[in-house]
Amino acid sequence: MSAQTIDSVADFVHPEPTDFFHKYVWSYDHKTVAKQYLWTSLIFLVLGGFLAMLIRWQIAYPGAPVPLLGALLKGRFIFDGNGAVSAEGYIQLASMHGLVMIFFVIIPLIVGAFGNFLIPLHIGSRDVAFPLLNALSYWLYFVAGLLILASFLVPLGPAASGWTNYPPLSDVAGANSPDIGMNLVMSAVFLAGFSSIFGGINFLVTIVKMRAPGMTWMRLPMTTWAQFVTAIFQVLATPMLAAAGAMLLFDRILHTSFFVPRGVMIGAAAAANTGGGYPLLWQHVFWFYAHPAVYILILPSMGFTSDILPAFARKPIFGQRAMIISLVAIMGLGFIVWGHHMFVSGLNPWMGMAFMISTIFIALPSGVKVFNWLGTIWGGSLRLEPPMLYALTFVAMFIVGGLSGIFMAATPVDVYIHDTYYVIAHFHYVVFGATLFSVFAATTYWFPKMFGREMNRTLNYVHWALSFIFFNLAFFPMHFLGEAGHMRRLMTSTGYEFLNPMAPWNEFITIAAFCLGASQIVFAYNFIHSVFFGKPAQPNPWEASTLEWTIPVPVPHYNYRTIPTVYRGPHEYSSPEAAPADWIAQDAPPRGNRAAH
Amino acid sequence: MFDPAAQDHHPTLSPAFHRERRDMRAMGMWLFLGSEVMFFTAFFAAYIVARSAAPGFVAMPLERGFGTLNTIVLLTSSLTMALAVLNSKRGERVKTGRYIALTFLLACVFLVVKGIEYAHHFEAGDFPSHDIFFGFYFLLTGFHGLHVLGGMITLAILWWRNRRGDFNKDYNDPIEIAGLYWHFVDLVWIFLFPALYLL
Amino acid sequence: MSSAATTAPSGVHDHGRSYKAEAVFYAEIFGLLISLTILTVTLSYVNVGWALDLTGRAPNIVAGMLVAAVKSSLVLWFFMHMNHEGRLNRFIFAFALCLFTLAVVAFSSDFVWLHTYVVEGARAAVGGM
Repeated sequence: MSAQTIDSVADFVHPEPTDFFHKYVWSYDHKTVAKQYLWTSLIFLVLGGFLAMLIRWQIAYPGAPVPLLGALLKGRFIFDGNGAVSAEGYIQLASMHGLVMIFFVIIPLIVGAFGNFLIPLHIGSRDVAFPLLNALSYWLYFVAGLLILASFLVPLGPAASGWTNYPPLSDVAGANSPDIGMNLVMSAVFLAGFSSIFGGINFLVTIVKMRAPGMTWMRLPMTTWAQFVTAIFQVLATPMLAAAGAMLLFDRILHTSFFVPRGVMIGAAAAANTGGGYPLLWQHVFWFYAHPAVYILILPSMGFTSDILPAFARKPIFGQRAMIISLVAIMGLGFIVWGHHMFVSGLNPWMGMAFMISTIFIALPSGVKVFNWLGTIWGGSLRLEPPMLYALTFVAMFIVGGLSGIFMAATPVDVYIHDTYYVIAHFHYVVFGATLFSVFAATTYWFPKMFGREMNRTLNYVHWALSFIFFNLAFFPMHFLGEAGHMRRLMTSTGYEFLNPMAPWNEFITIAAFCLGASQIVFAYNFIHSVFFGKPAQPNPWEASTLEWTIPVPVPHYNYRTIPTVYRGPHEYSSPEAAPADWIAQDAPPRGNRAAH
Repeated sequence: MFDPAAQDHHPTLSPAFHRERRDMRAMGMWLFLGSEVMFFTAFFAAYIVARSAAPGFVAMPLERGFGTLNTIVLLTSSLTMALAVLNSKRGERVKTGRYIALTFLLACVFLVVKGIEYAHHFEAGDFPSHDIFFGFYFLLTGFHGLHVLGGMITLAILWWRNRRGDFNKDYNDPIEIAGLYWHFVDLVWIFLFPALYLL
Repeated sequence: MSSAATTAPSGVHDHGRSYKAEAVFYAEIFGLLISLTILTVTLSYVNVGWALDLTGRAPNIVAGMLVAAVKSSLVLWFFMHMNHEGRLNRFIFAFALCLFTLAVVAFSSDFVWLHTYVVEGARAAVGGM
């Protein structure tokens, strides 16, 4: 065979691996890396959900031994001698639930798994810009995941200061507070942060430099647009978290005092740190990252929804330009709203007012998106397939979570509901109700392309109905708890007179949450069974028009045998050009050309 | 059009390919440097907060001689790196290697001077926990030192690859991209030097 | 990875000057950087605000940071070839610098407020401790 010459980066692809190690472990193929992310983050999803169940058990039945597990692990991990959740154990559960779900489930799932899988397919390229860096990102995340798991096994357990790790609690190690576990968790977050930064760099370069001919910015599918904006957050916000984590580790290990004020006492002894720093500084640095991170959690989901709704309403997205502008506006505003997490922390009230205004402003682009989704399904010929139901649920739940967010943006209201169950209700409506439902939507929508098999439709409908009902039963009452003044991270609601009337609600929520958890088994079974034994799928089961549906299943190693040329936008449904069909692929040549050939 | 299904394992990469990939790598590196800016932003902002607001903050004058010497060393290494990139673009393999080696040596000098300085601090009992200034001093110079170390590893690999003859007139972007990173390390020091030693 | 043994001119990165001119230019920038280093060290020994009758270290800090900004711009512009870089790459770096400014201004203004009104106020309230 004579040597071939490659003139363009778009043409290049690493040779298809033949051995097991390069095919499944150290793979340069974006599809394999995406699946690695998917499986790993689904395992962490089970872990995070399990921690949530333990939290709910304790708050509903304070002091009661945890069934089965408590008897098995008496006096170990987070359990006390009776097999009930211990006081330290409870805050550890709450902290690790948040950390695992945010850094090890949602971000790797929607960015790592779906971003990796979809971006090259959507832009018509054979791989991401830097395949080696891509593999490295996954393995950094994997090592970080191992550190998180290890933190459960060390003496005194994992982090115990909330997922936000506010100092001095997170900073000054007491005799009974987790020391090694906390360091492991911070290191894990540091590594996961770098995995996220490298992933973001990769996606940005891929989207900017590797689009197929004709794939203009306005023809880019909304999922990829959302990933683009998310990647900017990842590259420019995540380093702040890494730096904050590094300073916290300095404080913990080298006893510097960046976040430790003067005169911190642990019991009767003075802390090893000399003091002189500001705990508030941590909140500034942390939220400078973590507020943009909130948008990392939601923007890709907005992208999935903006591609799924048109496909099942058989209409182009309503106001595509407005959708893109609102994405970019959310990115710009997302960097200047971090202070709204600090209204009760002693923030300068004038800055508080500025942050309140900028936060309320960010509701504008979010509102534009919601109205445009409604405009998209308005008058469409809806096909209520499972992905569509999940996507519609995303919109509905995002409205609930978004509206409660606006209440909290107002400083006077926030002073009252800050750190109550109201906040928990708010961000679970956004992160579970919106983001996770969009993940279900994306999974059911792209499953045929990803695994070349179909998921069981009936089971998907069952899972959707159960999840939708129990999710709302579990999280909506939390608004009431919050308004009644029930603080978050409170180990027990008994023993506070004003909270006693809330005990039945707590039990109700717990039962609903257990049912919610149990109904995920339906999805897990369906997912795993379909991956291995599902019916072989058609290349384009949803009659969708974006590029990834034009290639065969299972997707070949090089994605596109010839790089496609793009002639039109991503949602060409019910277009007169397509008649008599109601859709036309992005890379189908225009009619005039077709007649000529 | 290149057919990936019929790809052999050693295709020839044309100069056009290398130019295109150079642009991609440059963009990736600029993005990485942007994220590095944000990484040091957290430290600098915290340092400025400590300087401007912390009541007990005492800026202890460090030995300016060490700082000035290291500034000159790093600036010189930036010059040699720029010359290495210049030579690599002209396909001057031997001269490129020499300049990379020189840059590497200057980086060593920087770290040795830094080490001597650290040793002085430790002898005087000025550990990171001593006070908030030394906390910031070790934080900032420590992470900068790690970046120097990372740069040295990159330079060593490049020197070896250059010696092996990987680079030529058309394909030399790894040296250029590493150069960007190396200049950034210099850039950070340009701010660290007055912030820690002089002001 | 093998590379082409073609003789195509690598025009894109060659700024059309001879090697010697380019090297001399780098040396000039380097000379400027060294002079600025000497300047900033000298400045740190004198009271910059003297002519304006200002006391304290604020004028020195402003002067030192200005010199550092000039130095870093030289490195950025000429050694890192920002002058030949595309708009996008300039924008990325500029955006990061904007965020840097935002963080520094927002954080420090909050703490200056805290120190001025809360800490000092509390001290005054307890009788000037």
